[in-house]
Amino acid sequence: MKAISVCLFEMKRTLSKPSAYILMLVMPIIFTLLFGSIFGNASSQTLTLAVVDKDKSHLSEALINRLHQDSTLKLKESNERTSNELLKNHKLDGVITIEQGFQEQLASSLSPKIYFQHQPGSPSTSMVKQSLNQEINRMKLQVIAAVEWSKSSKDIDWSSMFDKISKSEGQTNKYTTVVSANNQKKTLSGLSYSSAGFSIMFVMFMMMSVTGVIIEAKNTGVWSRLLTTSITKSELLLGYLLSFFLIGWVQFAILMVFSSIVFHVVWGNIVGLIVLISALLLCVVGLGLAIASMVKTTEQQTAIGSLIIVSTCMLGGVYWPLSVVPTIMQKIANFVPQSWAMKGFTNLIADGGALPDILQPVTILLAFAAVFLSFGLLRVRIQ
Amino acid sequence: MKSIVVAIKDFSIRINDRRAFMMMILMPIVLTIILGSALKGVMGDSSSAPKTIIALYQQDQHPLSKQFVQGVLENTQLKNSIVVKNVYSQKELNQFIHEKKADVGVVLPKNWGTQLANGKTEPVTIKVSDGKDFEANFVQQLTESYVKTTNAVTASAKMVLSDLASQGKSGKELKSIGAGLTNNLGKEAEANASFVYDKPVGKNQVSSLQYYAAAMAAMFLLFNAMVGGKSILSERANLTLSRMMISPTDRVSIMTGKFLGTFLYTMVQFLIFLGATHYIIQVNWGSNPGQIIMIAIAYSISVSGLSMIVAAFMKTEKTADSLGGMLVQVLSLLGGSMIPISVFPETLQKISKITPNSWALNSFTNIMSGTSWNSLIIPLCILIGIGIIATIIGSLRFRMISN
Repeated sequence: MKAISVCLFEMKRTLSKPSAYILMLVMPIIFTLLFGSIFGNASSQTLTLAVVDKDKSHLSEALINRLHQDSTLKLKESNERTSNELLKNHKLDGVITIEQGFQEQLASSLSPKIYFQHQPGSPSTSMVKQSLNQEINRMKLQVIAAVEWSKSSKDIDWSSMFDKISKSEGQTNKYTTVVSANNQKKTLSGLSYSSAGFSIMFVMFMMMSVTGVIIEAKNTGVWSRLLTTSITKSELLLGYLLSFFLIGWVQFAILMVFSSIVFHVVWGNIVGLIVLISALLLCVVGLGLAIASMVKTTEQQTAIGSLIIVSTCMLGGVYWPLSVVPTIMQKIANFVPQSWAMKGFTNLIADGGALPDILQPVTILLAFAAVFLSFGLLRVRIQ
Repeated sequence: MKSIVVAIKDFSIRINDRRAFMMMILMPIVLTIILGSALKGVMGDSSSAPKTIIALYQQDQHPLSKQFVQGVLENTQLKNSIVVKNVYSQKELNQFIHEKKADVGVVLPKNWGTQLANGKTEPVTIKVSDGKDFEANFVQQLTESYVKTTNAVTASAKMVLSDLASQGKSGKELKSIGAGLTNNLGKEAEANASFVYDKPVGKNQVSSLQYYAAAMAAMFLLFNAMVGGKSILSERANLTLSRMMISPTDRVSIMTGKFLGTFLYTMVQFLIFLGATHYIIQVNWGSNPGQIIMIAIAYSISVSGLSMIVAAFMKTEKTADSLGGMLVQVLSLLGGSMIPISVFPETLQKISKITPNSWALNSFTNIMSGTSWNSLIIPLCILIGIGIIATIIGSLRFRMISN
């Protein structure tokens, strides 16, 4: 078919320059290296905190010990000045300060203040605050019991009873078992959405080059020359589409293979992945074509392209999880392809899903693709 | 000066391109509105509870279980966040989760309450619907906090009473002590006091909204590096560049003019973004506008310098698109515009120091939390330095390829 010849022609052109296919191979690798080193190591999931103990009492030590046992925190004991320095230089995610008088106030059934300083953009700090609050609450209950005991007991040192109570209250028992919708055991990690998000951004940026190629073809006259042949506009577009699709697939495949070999990223079910990625690529290429049909100059293309990419990524939950935005925004997110792609990816990567589980996002992505492509096609026909 | 003429020419081309001009103004405003609407609930401090629909399969009718459901899940305080839908079989629960009728499924196993009263724990199963990790985390925290508190109460009371009994207290004494103790503990548990308070890192607390506003500013201004670079490349393609070169204008003026053009464009976009975020979504950019403007100027200089490198090292606009777009994304990531830098491993943190946007972002957040001019000297020098070095490298390369 003529579209296939156009596709082959375009691909040959792209691959004729060694710089082009080196780029094609190198980009996904660099991308992967970057994200792999950030998300690959488990330590990125834990928060590094410093604790400043101004009370230096039995109870403050007990609190610090308990915090050490929390596996989601990496705790360093330090003084005020050092921890402030480290915090300013982004070496720490936060600093917990136990003020003087902590033990005294707890023993008198008062509520001592603990201060928490944290980096502004950190997503999991509210969880830390809550669990810290919870732990002190628990401690206060134990102290109240111990103090009550000392009132009636022969031995008036309540701290020994407190220690007994702490020890008796089992270590980290399993209070909850978390499973996914498929009954697979899962751990709730705040950053799992980001890795899916970045793959999507990688694809979005390929779209920019899509629009660029078409505009270049129009400007250099290749477009009109091709149209003087017996090929129709739709076949021409289809040919270009096919070439972008294939090149996009090659790059994404490299990203997946490389990340799974070097960083042991588990991508999940292969069939599901192939379908999801194809749907996403079609959608993104379609969007690129639609934009290319609307703009005339490269300036417009950059401006509109970057606006669309950044705003749709923001709306689609790529930069921050959709769970924190108000309901209206969550509804708006459904009109953006990224949110559906995210759902598909997280299902495959984090929840161990397969093709049947991602039918909904895939269908919607294909629908987006159809809308974009028809729009582009219509515009091209009119011109 | 001739370079100013070149700069004005570039700027007027951009302004006359109606669509591009509209985009230039529109982009920062649209980004601001999306940012503001999305992060409305996260202002100041991120302690908002996500809207969660729970499918509850309660297999146990012990008072402690009922207390969990009524006192915690159905608590009036959380009414705006949590909606509890009761289900009566595991199958129904699975169905609810699959059909997305609920975000999180909670199963309270048989004897949960009894075990709890004896200080033992039977795990509660939490089933997470697709993509509802955040909500599930919230429910998990609520459950674990309830269990831990109840455990604390029962275990402490038990320990105390058994010890006093071994000390020889009579049954009647134990009973009254026990009653008093349970009363006090119960009151304390209900009170749910707060102990942890936020303290700002600098003088003022920087909210998530402020952080993201600064991060977005740093990121989308980087796009201008691409725009500036591409305009040079397109001029080269159109041969207008060569025509400029054979005119009496010397090469340096042309390059300076291009540099100034990008610089002007970047500053205008930043000022629009600054105004939009400040007036439309009330982002506080700190108490010192002078500091913000200085950093913005320095950052624009480095961005303009980068645009020269883009133009010099890429051959066509097409490559500028794909490579440039990728570069911007990589730089934004490294610079902390997407994930806070503190999450990065050691080596990446060092690399992030090379990116101009990380310096811009850090300076912006420092200004927001209140800082002195002294602490801004280093970032200012580095940003301007990057701009100058990039321009020099770009021009040298230009000379190489033109000869």
